[in-house]
Formats: sequence, structure tokens, C-alpha cells
Amino acid sequence: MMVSLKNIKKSFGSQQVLNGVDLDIDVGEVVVILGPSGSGKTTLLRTINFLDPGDEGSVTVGEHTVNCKKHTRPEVLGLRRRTAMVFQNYNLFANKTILENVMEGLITVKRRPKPVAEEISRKMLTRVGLSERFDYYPSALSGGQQQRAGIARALVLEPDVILFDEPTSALDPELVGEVLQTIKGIAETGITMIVVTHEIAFAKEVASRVIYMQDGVIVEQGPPSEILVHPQDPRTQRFLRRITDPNQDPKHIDMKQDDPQPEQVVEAG
Amino acid sequence: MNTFQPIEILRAIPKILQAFPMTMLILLSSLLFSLLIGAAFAMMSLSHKKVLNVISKGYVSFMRGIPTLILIFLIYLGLPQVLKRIGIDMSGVSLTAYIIACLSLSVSANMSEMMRSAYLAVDKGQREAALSVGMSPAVAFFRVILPQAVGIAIPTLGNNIIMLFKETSLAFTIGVLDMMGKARAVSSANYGATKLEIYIAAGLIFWAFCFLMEKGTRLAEKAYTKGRRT
Ligand SMILES: Nc1ncnc2c1ncn2[C@@H]1O[C@H](COP(=O)(O)OP(=O)(O)O)[C@@H](O)[C@H]1O
Ligand SMILES: [Mg+2]
Repeated sequence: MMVSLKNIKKSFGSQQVLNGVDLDIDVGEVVVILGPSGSGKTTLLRTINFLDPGDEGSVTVGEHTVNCKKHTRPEVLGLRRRTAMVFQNYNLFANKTILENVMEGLITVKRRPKPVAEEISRKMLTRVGLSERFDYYPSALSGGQQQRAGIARALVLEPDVILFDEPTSALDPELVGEVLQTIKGIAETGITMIVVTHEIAFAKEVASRVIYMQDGVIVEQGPPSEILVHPQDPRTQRFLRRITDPNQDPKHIDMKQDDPQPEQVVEAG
Repeated sequence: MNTFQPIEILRAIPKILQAFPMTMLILLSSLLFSLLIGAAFAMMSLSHKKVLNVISKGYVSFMRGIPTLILIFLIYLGLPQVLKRIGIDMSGVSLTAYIIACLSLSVSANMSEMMRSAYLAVDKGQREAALSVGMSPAVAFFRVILPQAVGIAIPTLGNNIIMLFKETSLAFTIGVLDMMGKARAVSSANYGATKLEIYIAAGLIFWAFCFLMEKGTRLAEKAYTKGRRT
């Protein structure tokens, strides 16, 4: 087992965002999480590396288990050093060049000597197709290039698991392909990944498992050939119908809007 | 009434400039201390402890609201008397030290606000990215957040230094021979006959330095943020 989440609960104020999520992920799995906006996908990823610690439950990565309620700083640091994250808005360090962005973790966290860090980083950036851009600052790059640099920054740390939070949602449509291609290439190396995305075709091709999440719980999960083709739960069916509708912008699917509770319908009538 | 003699302006300039080192001493010392005090209150205002927020807010509001001249009189005249009661003798403290203390306190409020807003202006995602890489909060602060906050703060810092520079001219009020004190001394040596010319000279000197500092700020900002956004 590479990642194990046990009964993760999380509220913001009075709003319960995660309602007890259990999830076990094996080494080398590529798990794609689908779900309407607001269903808690981002929050779930952020509880894994404790950017937002859960209120209850526990997170295990590798052999390292951290209790959400009672955790120490070194425990959290240990967890973060076993994970890496790729953000929707890239979040590259704005004060550093692309090369320095990738080197930063190697130097400050892994304590590699600078020349070694630089060599590894150059290789990694070349791997994601940025060999011509080492000395550029993030603001001088396209979104697709920034996101590939973000992927290189995550990958270079050799984490046990990489967390992708809608890595292509902020991109212009013509740049989505290059980033998905990069992620696919990484998936093929056998690293464990959790990817939140709305790209169904990507999920079909790359995922070893698809999870459908709504209202802070996992509604159903299974191999893409089952979940994406023959979903059992009506909520998953409705979501997939809408997301494959060419007139629907997947980023703005809000299931609550046309998913009234039956009782309310009766009362209203 | 004397006739106005422009040549006296030129004569006064080198005399006033003799006190330039004193003005610089006051400026640089106050700058250093105001940054240290400001950093302490900025940290308090950003802390999660309510008490510290309140203390910091109160301090900043008081120091911003009180005219520097009043602060100087309060501390120069009042503090020794208060301390005498509890047996501390302040008579050995130099006038320059009083001025530096007063200006440091006065400007520290603006420095604190400057640091606080620069810190808050750095995108939250920067810190999260640093933490996600495995940096400790302290490393994330020094390697990622602080360098960006400094870039954001440079223009305000330049303004604060210019303001502080102008306020050093209050030093004469308790008898320190800064450039303003020197101007007054030169004037009274002439029995006030060239008063106007001398103050014009003093004004020109202050303006010239402010102009240079403004240019310097622009250059610093440009050099610091070269090729990037922050
Ligand atoms: N820091 C926060 N403070 C308050 N509410 C939040 C915060 N982060 C997320 N939420 C709320 O939690 C819910 C789930 O958000 P999120 O995990 O971002 O969903 P998703 O990524 O699936 O769109 C949303 O209703 C959102 O408004
Ligand atoms: Mg999200």
C-alpha cells in the first residue's frame, strides 16, 4: 500500500466538506478523481499533504502515518517530503527561474550540493520539454510551460505519490494536450499518482482507477472501463452525461443545481 | 529689512553640508532601529494570537497619530523625569540618542504597516508550493516569501526613508547640530541678516537629496525585480 486514507473528515466553519473518506492506493496506481465543483476534491488532496489538515482520520504514505487530529510538525514535514503537489495555478516560485524552481527542493529539502541539484534539474526539465527555458522566470512562460515546470519540480523530489489538482483547468485549450501528454509520460514510469481532472479521455487512457466524488464522499470507484462506461450510481451517471455534453463547460458543472432532493420537490408542489 | 542676496544661498550650502554626517548618522541609525521595531510589530500583527494583534494595532495607530515633534518633547522632557522617580539617571544620554530613539519609534509604525502589507501581498500559493515541496515554514519564509515581499515593499520603503530623512530636520528642536541645526547656527552667526537665503539653501539641499533617493528607489526596484513580476 502506498497511500492510505482512513475516515478523513473536514469542515470549514459549519460546512462539512469531507464526510469520512476511506481510500487505499497501491504502488504505481494512477487514480483519477472526478466530481462536480465543490465536491471536496481539492480539499481531499490538501488533507493528504496537510496543507489543510483533516479534522479526523489518518493519512498514511509509505510507512509514514499521521493522525489528522493529533500531529506534530516533524510528522507533517515527513509526510510532505513523501508527497509532491502540482497546482491548478502552477504556483511556481515567482522570484526564481524555472531551473531554480526545480532545484529549490533538492537544495533546501534533500540537501543535495548545488552542482548535483543543477544537473538533476536540467535533466528533469529536459524530460518535460523545457530544455530551452532554464533561465526564464515563470512570468515569461506560457501556462503550459509553467505547468510542465511545476510537474518537473514535483517529480524531481522522487516522491512516493504526486498529487495533481486539476493541472490543466487554468490552461488555454490548445495547451491542455502538451501537459496531459507530459503527465501520461510520467504515469508510464510507474510512479503513484492521484489526479483530479475533468479530462475524461485522459482518465480513460491513463487511469488504473477512477473515483467519483460528490458532497464529500466517494460515491463509487473502479477501473475506468466500468466507472466511465457503466456507472452504477445515478449521481455518477448524471455527472458523466453532463460532462460529455459538448455544450457544457466541465469546470462549471454544479450538480446541486439540478439535483433537487425528492422531499423538497414534494413540499414545493 | 535687508535686500535679498542670492549669492548668500551658495555661500550657505557648504556650511550647512558640514552637518551632513550628523544628519546621515541620525537617518541611518533611525532607519535600522525603525526596521527592527517595525518587524517586531509586523510579526505581532500577523500572529494568530489576538492579544498581539491588538497590541500591534494600538501601537501603530498611536505612533501614526502623534506628531513627531510632540513625541520628541514627550520623550526628551518627560522620560528623564519619569525615570528619575524610579532611580534611573538619564543625564548621560546624548541629544542625538534621543532624536534617534524618537524618529525610530515614529517611523517604525509605517515600517510595520509596510512589512505587513508586503507579506500579505505575496500570493498564498507561493507558500503552499514551498510547503508542498517539503520546506519548513521558516525556510519557505526566507527563500520564497521574504524575497518577494521585499520586491513589493521597495517603493514604500523608499517613501518611508524620504519621510524619515525630512524628519531628521526636527533634531534642531532639542539642540542637535544636524543640517537644520547648522542652518540655524549659521543664520544666527550673521545676526539673522541672511536668514532667508540660508533657509532656501537648506531647502534646496533637502530637496536634492530627496530627489536622489527617489531615483535610487526606482533603480533599486528595477534591479531587484529584473525579469520577473514581483
Ligand atoms: N479554505 C476554505 N475555507 C472555507 N471553505 C472552503 C475552503 N476551501 C474549500 N472550501 C469549501 O469546501 C467545498 C469543497 O471545496 P473544494 O475541495 O475546493 O472542491 P472541489 O475541488 O471539488 O471543487 C466548497 O464548498 C468550498 O467552498
Ligand atoms: Mg478544486
